Amino acid sequence: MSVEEDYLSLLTDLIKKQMVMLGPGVAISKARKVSSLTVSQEGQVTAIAGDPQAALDQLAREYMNLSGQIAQATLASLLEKYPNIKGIASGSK
Amino acid sequence: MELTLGLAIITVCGTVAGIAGYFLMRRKFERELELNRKKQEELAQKAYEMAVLKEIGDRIGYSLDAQKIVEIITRSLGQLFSFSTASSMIFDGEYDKIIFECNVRETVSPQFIADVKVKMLAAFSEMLQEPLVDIDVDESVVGELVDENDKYPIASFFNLPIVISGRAVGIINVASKIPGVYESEETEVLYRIASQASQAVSKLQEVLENEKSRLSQAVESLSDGLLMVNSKYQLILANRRLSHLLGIIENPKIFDIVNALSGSFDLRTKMEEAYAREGTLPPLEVAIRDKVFQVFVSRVSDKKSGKQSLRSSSLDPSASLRADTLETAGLKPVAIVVLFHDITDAKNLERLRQDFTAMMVHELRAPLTSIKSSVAMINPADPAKMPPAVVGKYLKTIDSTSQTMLELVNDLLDVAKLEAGKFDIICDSGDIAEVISDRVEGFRPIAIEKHIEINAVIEPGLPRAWFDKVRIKQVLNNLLSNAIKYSDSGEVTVGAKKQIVNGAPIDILVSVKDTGIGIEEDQIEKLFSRFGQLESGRRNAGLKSSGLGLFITKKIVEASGGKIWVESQGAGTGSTFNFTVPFAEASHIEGTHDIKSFTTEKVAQA
Amino acid sequence: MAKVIIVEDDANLANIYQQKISSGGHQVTIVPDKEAVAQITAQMPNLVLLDILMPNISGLDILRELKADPTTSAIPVLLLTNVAEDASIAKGLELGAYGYLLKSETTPDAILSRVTMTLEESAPPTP
Repeated sequence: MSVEEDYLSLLTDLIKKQMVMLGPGVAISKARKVSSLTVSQEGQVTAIAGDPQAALDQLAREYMNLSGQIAQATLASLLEKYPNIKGIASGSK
Repeated sequence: MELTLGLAIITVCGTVAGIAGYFLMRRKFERELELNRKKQEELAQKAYEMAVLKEIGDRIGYSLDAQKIVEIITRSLGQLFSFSTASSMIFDGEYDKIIFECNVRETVSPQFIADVKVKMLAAFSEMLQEPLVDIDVDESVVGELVDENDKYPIASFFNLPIVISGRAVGIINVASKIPGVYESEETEVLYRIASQASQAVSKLQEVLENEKSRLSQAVESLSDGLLMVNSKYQLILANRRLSHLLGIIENPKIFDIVNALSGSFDLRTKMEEAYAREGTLPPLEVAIRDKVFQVFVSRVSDKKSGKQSLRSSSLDPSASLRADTLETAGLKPVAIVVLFHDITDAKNLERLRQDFTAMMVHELRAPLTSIKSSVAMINPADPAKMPPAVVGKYLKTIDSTSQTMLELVNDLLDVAKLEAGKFDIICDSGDIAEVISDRVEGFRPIAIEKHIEINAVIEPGLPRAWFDKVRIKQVLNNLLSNAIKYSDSGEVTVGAKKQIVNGAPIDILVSVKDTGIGIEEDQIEKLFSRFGQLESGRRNAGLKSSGLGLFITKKIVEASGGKIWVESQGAGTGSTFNFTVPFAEASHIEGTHDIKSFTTEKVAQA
Repeated sequence: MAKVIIVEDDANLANIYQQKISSGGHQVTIVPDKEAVAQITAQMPNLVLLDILMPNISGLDILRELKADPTTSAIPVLLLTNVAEDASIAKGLELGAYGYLLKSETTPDAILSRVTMTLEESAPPTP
């Protein structure tokens, strides 16, 4: 799996998890705030424009604004499945 | 004609301009209006946020219940936007189950509610990062009716996770039959509220934890044993000291404690008594194993007990508030505290004192009897009738016996002064060798009588010492009299020399060595103590003494800035008593007198 | 003329008692507490004056032994004590002492009379 595909997959997973946790409306509406992402109605990320890491950072931050540590925990456990991708830059809190 | 055209054009232009202007203005106006409205909305939201937070803050003052937080938020939702149901799910750690409450605002079908429950459980699972299979769910539905025939499913919903102190404790769900309603900024308000509330609670919990740990540290460091039992006779708390005092394991069960107390103290009965009464029971004296305790049993009330669960009250927040006020007024006893105060030492001391007094009374009465009888023998009615030799003999007896009594009384007086803190030591610079020689000569007659040699061995050129002449004489008298008393033969040697430590002389060491009966190792400890004679049961035949001599000697030596100790190899090998006297410093020699008075709380315990 | 044994650790007092009682015509011996039982059994006195509070052996223990031994149990024993309400007096009487004296309250003359009285009371009936 290419790194590009990894990112798509990870971002999708993240959004899907947030859809369960926060509700689909909220999760998707937040995901769409990240302008570089193209997100389907089902929460599938179909394209990333520009730097995927930046997109991941931004998306993570959007979710953390809503659900704080839970989002962080979710992301952390997801990252374990994607060794190629580094975690987000810390600096929040 | 041109004028008309011109006018028409101007008019049209003007009108157009006017209209354009009007539109422009309107647009600008509208935009401002829009901004204003947005601002107003924002303000309204902020106000709403503040109101909800305040209410939460008020209630946090009463209790830190995650459940309450969730309930408050859920109930306040109605003010913000429309929904069909607002539900809360809380994880009850104590009983390992989920408490689910669904507030129905608009009639929905039971399926709707079931769906909400499923979605919430899924979200909760996700939050806890573990599946919640087979977990008990306590379900309650309040509000509008539930209609089987209602066809509307959940069209939109969102969840608010509640995290306190890093732990996911609950979820709030808002669901609606109307699709697409929860995607705007308004929902964010709630997330912010939830987050702020959670943070506030987390901080407060931290404070509470700190207080709790400080409290338990205080409880642990109590010098008394403490146990606390609730109304169901369950052990709430037992500090380490209690375990130590009762001789049971740390972290005991109520059973262990009752066992340790059985036969001496009926915990259950006393608890019931305490329940029935206000305040503390009068203290009891209880003997447990080899110790004696003063035991205090008291009832404690929990001001916050008797609270009702808010879940049973209506959706109206103000109604709940009234209920809260009522709750805090009611006091219900919830626990019994039992305190164990160790008075074993105090009791022992008391007993020793009494024994001591009894012994002293006897020690004084016996010589008095002797004296009285001696006097009677001299025939007071007509003393001339008795041969002078006989009279002389009895007079001698009277003299020596009264001398013994005098010494005893003096000792008793000294000890009384020590206890009262009125024992004065007046130090001055002097020649210790002189005092020693004087005392040795003083005891020579007695020594000769017992066929004991007595000598002084004094290092030449001893520097002047700092001591109380009268008192040090007393010390030497005591040590020399003991040395001679407890020897049948041999010699008594008094030595004085500079004591050298690490190459430098630090003070003068005086030693009184005898070749008498010696002292056993286990007796040495009690030798200098006030009740020493009583405790060690040491009463040598015919060697009457008050037993206080060495006690007083030690006090004098120490007050003069010295130390005293004894060396003996055991029974029959003699003993050497050593004590030190400080050098007289230059400042001392100038003639400053040093008066020290003894404050003696310690004397009583010696 | 009777044989009297005094068991008393206070030398002065013992001497005084001995002096007084011998002046009444009796033969008086002073015996230390450790040898009391042995000496009494050996000499079989007519009367024993026994001090209760002594350094090595308690007077009550000596009394007990004397009363337990049929040879000596008949010998009247007068307890010597200093304290009036001492529980030891009650105990002593229980153990079979003939009576007791308060040393501090009893003059040597009174001791002699008491000794004489006791000897008279306890003497075996003359045939």
